[in-house]
Amino acid sequence: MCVHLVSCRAHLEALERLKALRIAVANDTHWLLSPSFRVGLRTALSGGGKSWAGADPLEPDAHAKDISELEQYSRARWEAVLQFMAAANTEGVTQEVVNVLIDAELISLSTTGEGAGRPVITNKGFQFLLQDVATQVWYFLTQYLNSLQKRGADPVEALALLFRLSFSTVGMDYPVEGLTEGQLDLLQHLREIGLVFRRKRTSRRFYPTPLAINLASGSAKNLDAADVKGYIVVETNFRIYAYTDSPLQLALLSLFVDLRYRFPNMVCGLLSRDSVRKALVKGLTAEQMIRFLRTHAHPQMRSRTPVLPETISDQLRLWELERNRLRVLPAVLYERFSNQREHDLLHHYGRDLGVELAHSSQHIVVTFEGHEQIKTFWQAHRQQAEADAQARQRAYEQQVAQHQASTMQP
Amino acid sequence: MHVHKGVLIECDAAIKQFLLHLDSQQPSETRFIIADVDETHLFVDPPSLPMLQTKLDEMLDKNNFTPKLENTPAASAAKSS
Repeated sequence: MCVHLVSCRAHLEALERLKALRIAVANDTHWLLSPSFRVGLRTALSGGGKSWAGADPLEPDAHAKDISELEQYSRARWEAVLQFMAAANTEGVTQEVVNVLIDAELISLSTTGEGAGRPVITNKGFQFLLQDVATQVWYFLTQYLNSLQKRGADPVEALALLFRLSFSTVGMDYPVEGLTEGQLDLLQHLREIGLVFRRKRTSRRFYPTPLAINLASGSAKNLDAADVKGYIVVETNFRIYAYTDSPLQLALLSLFVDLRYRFPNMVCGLLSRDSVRKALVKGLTAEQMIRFLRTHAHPQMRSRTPVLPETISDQLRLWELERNRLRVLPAVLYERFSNQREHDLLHHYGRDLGVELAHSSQHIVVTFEGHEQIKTFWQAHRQQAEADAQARQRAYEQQVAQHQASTMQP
Repeated sequence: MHVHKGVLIECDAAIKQFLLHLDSQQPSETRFIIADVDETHLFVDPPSLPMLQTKLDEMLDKNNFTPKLENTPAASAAKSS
């Protein structure tokens, strides 16, 4: 009975999954498999069709790689990309990767100063760096596919290869035979960012790395183990101690921290107004810096509440506010009204329209856009006023004439 | 009634006083404030904005105290260079 229940639940779960993947479609009484999946499944069960892993298996690789080596390799490659973004260290990053980063607006080429043409990290890029690796790879690849499409290439081939990768096994080698020209290009790019390993550009085989396998499964456990471990200690005197020797982490910190001493396993830096202002000018926000320090806080710091000393987070926000002391808006000013009624009229009209920015007894300031409306209103008002004045004048003249007529009569 | 096109600056009272002071230091032909609207608003001439921003940054930098860290390698390196 119990066994039956369990297997029944497993069965239902499996059906739910098939439904979610749109492989099976349910109607009232029965389930239907999607036609193309049905054909594929039948071929696979009967042992027909062509296997993408190559018809004949490769001879054993003389330079075989094991899983930990592959993981190391992929981590190193991916960190090279991140490091390039953080510190503009072009070593080991090809133009293709740079182009994708530029297309994704994660970096931009600076147009000012002596460093013109040099890549600079953008606001979006900084947020990107703060995410976990799986999210980063995912985002990077979607951007890669976008830029493929922009250049008019068909992303279907690339997608096919990416899906294949996510179904492969780490530590196994796969032949490059049978891949199309576009897929070989992609393979080369994936190699650059550490999603696959090929010993040489012309090597007949490739190894998918854990980065690639985790892509579709969405699990990022083993990849992030090292990232989750916090390493930053912030003291209330604005000193920062970072227990790390990773050049990437250092590059990230140096975006807004003035690093002063470096030891084999830690660096010591200072949060200063200048260093933070430099980061603010680059477009980072105080909130991003605070979040970075908080998420990478050393376990020692985490036990405290709040994790980041309040003086630090407050000061970061204050430094940000200091840069925004002026709020500048294009506007139109009205002054020297001929009487109080004119002023009140425009003041009320502007306020009701929602275009008035400021006013005093002498002045009214409205938005640039609101000025046109006010102008039409004012002209209409002036015409009306003139018409009224003329009418009054005529009425007065009539009265005078009548009066004269009545006094003329004896 | 007179109509002026320009920009409205919204700021806190302290900064406004600084801008008023800056304006009073200018020779009459480069004065930029068109109207002093209220406590936190000034109406100014657009071409003077970049100058205002730099002067303001200068003032804020001057008012900021950065403790000099003596006897640190970084500080002494900066001095010698």
